[in-house]
Amino acid sequence: MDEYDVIICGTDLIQSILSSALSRAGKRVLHCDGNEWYGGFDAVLSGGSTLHSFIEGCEQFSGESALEGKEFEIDEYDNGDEHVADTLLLRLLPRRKQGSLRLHSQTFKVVPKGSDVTENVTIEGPSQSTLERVSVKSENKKTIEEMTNDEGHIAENSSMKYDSSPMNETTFTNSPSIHSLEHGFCFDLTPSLLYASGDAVECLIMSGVSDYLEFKSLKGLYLLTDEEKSSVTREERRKGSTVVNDTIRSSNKKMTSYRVPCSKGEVFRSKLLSPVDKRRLMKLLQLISDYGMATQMEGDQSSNNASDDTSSVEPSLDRITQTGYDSDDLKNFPDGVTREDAITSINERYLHRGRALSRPQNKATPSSSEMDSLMLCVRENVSFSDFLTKVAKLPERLATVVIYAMALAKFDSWEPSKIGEDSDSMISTSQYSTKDGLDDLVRHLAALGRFGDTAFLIPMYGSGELSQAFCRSGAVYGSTYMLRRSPLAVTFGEGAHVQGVLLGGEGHIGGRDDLDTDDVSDRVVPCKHVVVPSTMLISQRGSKARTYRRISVLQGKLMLDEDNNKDDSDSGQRYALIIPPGTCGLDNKSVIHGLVVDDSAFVAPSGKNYTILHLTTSNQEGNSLPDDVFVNVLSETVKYLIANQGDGAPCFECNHISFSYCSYATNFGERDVAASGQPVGLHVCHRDMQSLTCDSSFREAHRIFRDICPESDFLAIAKKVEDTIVYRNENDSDDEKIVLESACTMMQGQSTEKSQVENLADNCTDADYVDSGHTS
Amino acid sequence: SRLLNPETSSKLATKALQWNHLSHELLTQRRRLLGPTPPSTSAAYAAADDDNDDAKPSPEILLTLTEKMLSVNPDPSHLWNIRRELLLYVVPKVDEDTGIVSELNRPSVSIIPNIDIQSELKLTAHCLQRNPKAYSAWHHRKWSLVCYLTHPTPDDDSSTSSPKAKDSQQSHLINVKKILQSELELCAQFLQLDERNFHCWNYRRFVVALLGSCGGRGTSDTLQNQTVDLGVISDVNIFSGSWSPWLKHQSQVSMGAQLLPSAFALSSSQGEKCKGTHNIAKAIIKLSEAELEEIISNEWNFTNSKIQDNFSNGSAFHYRSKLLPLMLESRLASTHRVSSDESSGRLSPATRYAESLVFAREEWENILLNAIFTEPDDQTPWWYHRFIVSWMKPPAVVGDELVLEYETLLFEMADSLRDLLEVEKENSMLGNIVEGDESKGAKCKWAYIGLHMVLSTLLESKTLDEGEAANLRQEAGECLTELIKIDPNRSERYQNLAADIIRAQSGGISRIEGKLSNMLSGC
Repeated sequence: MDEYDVIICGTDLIQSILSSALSRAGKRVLHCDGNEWYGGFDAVLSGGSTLHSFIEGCEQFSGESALEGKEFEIDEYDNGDEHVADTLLLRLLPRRKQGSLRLHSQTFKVVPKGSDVTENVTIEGPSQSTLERVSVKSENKKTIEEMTNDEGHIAENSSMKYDSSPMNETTFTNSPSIHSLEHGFCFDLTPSLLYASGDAVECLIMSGVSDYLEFKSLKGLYLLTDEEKSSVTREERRKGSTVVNDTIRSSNKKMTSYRVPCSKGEVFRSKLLSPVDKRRLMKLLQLISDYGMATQMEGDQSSNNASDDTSSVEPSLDRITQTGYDSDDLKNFPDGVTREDAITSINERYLHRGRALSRPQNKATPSSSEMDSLMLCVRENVSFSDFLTKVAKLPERLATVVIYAMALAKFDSWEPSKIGEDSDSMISTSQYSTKDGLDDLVRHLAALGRFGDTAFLIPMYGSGELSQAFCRSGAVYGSTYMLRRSPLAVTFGEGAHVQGVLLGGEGHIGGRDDLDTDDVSDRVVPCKHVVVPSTMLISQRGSKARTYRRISVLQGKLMLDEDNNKDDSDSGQRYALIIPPGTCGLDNKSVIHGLVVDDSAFVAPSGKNYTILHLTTSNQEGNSLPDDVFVNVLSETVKYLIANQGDGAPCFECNHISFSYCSYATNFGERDVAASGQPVGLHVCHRDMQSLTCDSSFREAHRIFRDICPESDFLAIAKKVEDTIVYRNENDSDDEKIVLESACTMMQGQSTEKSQVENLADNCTDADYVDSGHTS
Repeated sequence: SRLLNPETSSKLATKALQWNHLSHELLTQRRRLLGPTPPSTSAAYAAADDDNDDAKPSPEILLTLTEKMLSVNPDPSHLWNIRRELLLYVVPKVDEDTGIVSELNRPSVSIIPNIDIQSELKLTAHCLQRNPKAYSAWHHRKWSLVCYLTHPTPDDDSSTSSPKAKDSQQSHLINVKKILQSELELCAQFLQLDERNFHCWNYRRFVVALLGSCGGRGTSDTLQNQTVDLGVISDVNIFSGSWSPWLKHQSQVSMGAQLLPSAFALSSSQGEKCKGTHNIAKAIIKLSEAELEEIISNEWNFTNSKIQDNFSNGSAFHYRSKLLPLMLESRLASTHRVSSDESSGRLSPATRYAESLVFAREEWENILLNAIFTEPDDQTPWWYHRFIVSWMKPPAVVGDELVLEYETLLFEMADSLRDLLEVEKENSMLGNIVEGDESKGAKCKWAYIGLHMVLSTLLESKTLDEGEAANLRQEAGECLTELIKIDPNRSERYQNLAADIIRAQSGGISRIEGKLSNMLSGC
């Protein structure tokens, strides 16, 4: 049997990026997934078939909330199969238990077979695209028959089970015509955005995978927070009536949604800030942009002359501050490049970057003492919130805005032990270090002003398209893909070296016999490296860190801010929403990230006025709060958002699904495995817990890629493919050339035709000529 | 580096050769077509007809050629000149029924230049997309619009007296308005792409002026109501794009004429030729109060939205400073229309001034304060601030109450600027490490200049008591000392200003005002 270089388990985004990158680097890759769709936890489920299949899978296991699974172990394979006798193996979680997925509630109704067959034939809009359909364009035409088949089958299996779904929520009506709309929905298991400039975009462009994808800009980033009386400006006093409407029911405290100022213009416009706060915020943001530039420059330098970069990070940061801004120390620059030149070229290089916040030209350099104190805070490991309030002198409220809405503080950056004992947000973030905060903030700032009003891109047809696109490009470079084949275990040979992966047979897929496949039994596929997501490992069983998500289908528009109506050219809703912890009224224990998307990103049937709201929050390691707390907070948030629509058209929740999974395996690869004999060739990838963007997936994929192929370029386009692309671009129409050539031929033609004109005495020719000239 | 690529450079070389060839061709053909004789004389036509055709290339071909060349490179103004020449070139018209050249029979038709406004607009729009800052393309667009306005379309009846003619004139007017409205939209689009394109702002003011000259947008209704005077003015100067002819209170505002009448020397000389048979004048409809206000407030809101998007926009602030007095008038008109129906009497200077103070305060609080605190190193809001401060100076006749209010606003401004400088000074908790270093102080030059200006404006006031004045004088002096440190290149100017303060103090007369304007020019 052929040996693969790498077997990748699961088609989540990280693994998909890896399979594309590894196959580009010339590795033989087998990529397998037990599901019948791509994406794993990053999948986009289409409303009809895959969603039901997903729900069905969840239901089966949601009862056994306390999984009696085994601890991580490597044991003897007792199958007795001669091929794998005498080997060690690491069992992987079965498909439905991965990430200990729990379904908390859902109101989607599965309609019995027969009532919807005719509707399915006329499916419109995006459907779940699979690799078999390589061409994006022909997506809708193919496999309708197949889908009908799937749908019918699942419906048949499950129609009995869901008759008792909760009745207190409004559900889709049973009318078949509404039901057929479900196919137009795309539900992201993990909705993610991309920074308009960052790791993700860089990888997409570099790899050419961007050809498979389309994006739109996120239109606004909103912060839902307590209203502060003191900052109420004249403007707001005039609008007093609407402010009062924002009061949450059954609570005296008020919450308001503010647009997070993402550019100089928005800082200028923002009603969230007083003039002095605006100045402080601008100073901070510009300083941090400079910091980003300095660290970037340092990165460039260290890669350029790696020889003299023996110093640690801190001194080199110092060096940059000096060379970049205030000293006339020239020795760090190559010969012939003066300090001024270097700064100019850097200025030019980064003119576009963070343009939205950059200083005017007459004030190009920051004060050195500010940078010094920033660097000191980084070195002394001051917490980010302390830095903001004490050094940058932001008021606490503004510091909250910066931490949660601008640095998009992530849950796993915090000290876990603090939460639960004290829900005060400032304390819970105390271990979010200045360095981490700055890095996160720099990432955000660098992406501002690139495209649209915010720093974010939103993938059309759902962010699950990303993993599909990478799988597609992996297939172009020769990866082998197997769906419906669950990896069951990793086998190890001599010296705990990875030997192969035990793939589940076809019979494991829920006993489906309607698929036209040969009966396949379990078999071990040999390989050198295995990539396993931490969600498939059993060791995380004890972990309480869970990500909770509620996907709601809303009928109507969810207006966060009445000012948005001004943009009439694009009335689509694409907003992100951030609710910092401890926001009164909701009393959420951790930050809630929300994403409001409608048909303008093709995740809902067009023209039917549906909006999809994703809300995500998470529980932390070591926190003993029950699931209910988080699930309820999310449903309260939905209610709150709907109740505070303001003047907008009424809006209600039609359907929702609420689930949670666990993705955080603490220190897996290093400690646990080391105890049992240090397996070689096993790579574990970790999902980010709760993140608005998927850029970290790219970083994680890059990390594992470096482990497997340290010498190759990550996601490089092969020379041959590159040539084709260049060739294609070269042949792009050069309109100057076309116009000039047509003018030349016209003038040449004129002299020949002149004689014809004379002979025929037909003056109309000239007029015809003008016409053709206009059209060409 | 792109040029080093042999493929690219050879392509560019080919293009350059083609371009040279084409411009040579164009120039020779033009000489042949237009020749030494003026094109408008009938002798030229006769000669053209007598000569064989290949001596006279068809103007259409040359027009197409200019179109193609200009769409590749919209910058060379001589190409646009040739194009205009060709457009004005009189084409011998052929009667379709008889096939006989008929320009001698119907000269009134032949003098109408064959300008298809839409094709010119399309061409210039295309060129401007290629280079949104092409002076000549914007100029040609203006020229085409004015040509269209001053020359009736061929389907216009030549006798203006008949009711039918009046109808067609009105429909022409409505067409014009449609075009002008779409021009405003085009401006908005260009300014969406680059809100600081001053060419486009300039063009926008021009279009608004034309719109004003042709009457407001609701004219079709008002015409029916017979409330509008139809006056016939046979002067192309009306459509020069200048704002003064159509504004009622022209004294305060000068937007500048946008096209010199001499630009139409050619067209008007053509027009004179047929004065007897064809009247090229257009009706100018006086704007009603409401229409005027609508136009102005639309423009005001437009600048507002552009400043909201990006306040670092000198053009928008400039336009705003021009619109501000007009807005004040329409505000006064509307408030006093509400309060008392008889608005015939002139408003007292005090009421006017009170309103303008309110207005100035709004501008300060809503725009300037926020802009200055968001980015104090951006000079555009500071210039507008300077304008506002000088604009709101009280006239001699108003009472002390208003002067007091004026001073309160100035004091508030000074306080805010002091706050700003405070924030700028607080560097860090480590600030004392570099204590004593002069770089430690706020480097915000514009805030010091602004504070100095506000203080010295306050010092002009007579109501201050001597102790307060001395304090202010000292603070203004400190601003200047700081400025000399921060901005040594202009130290002489600051020293001069400091001398002014001392002189004003010793002389007892505040004559800083004159020096302020020097200060403006020095920046």
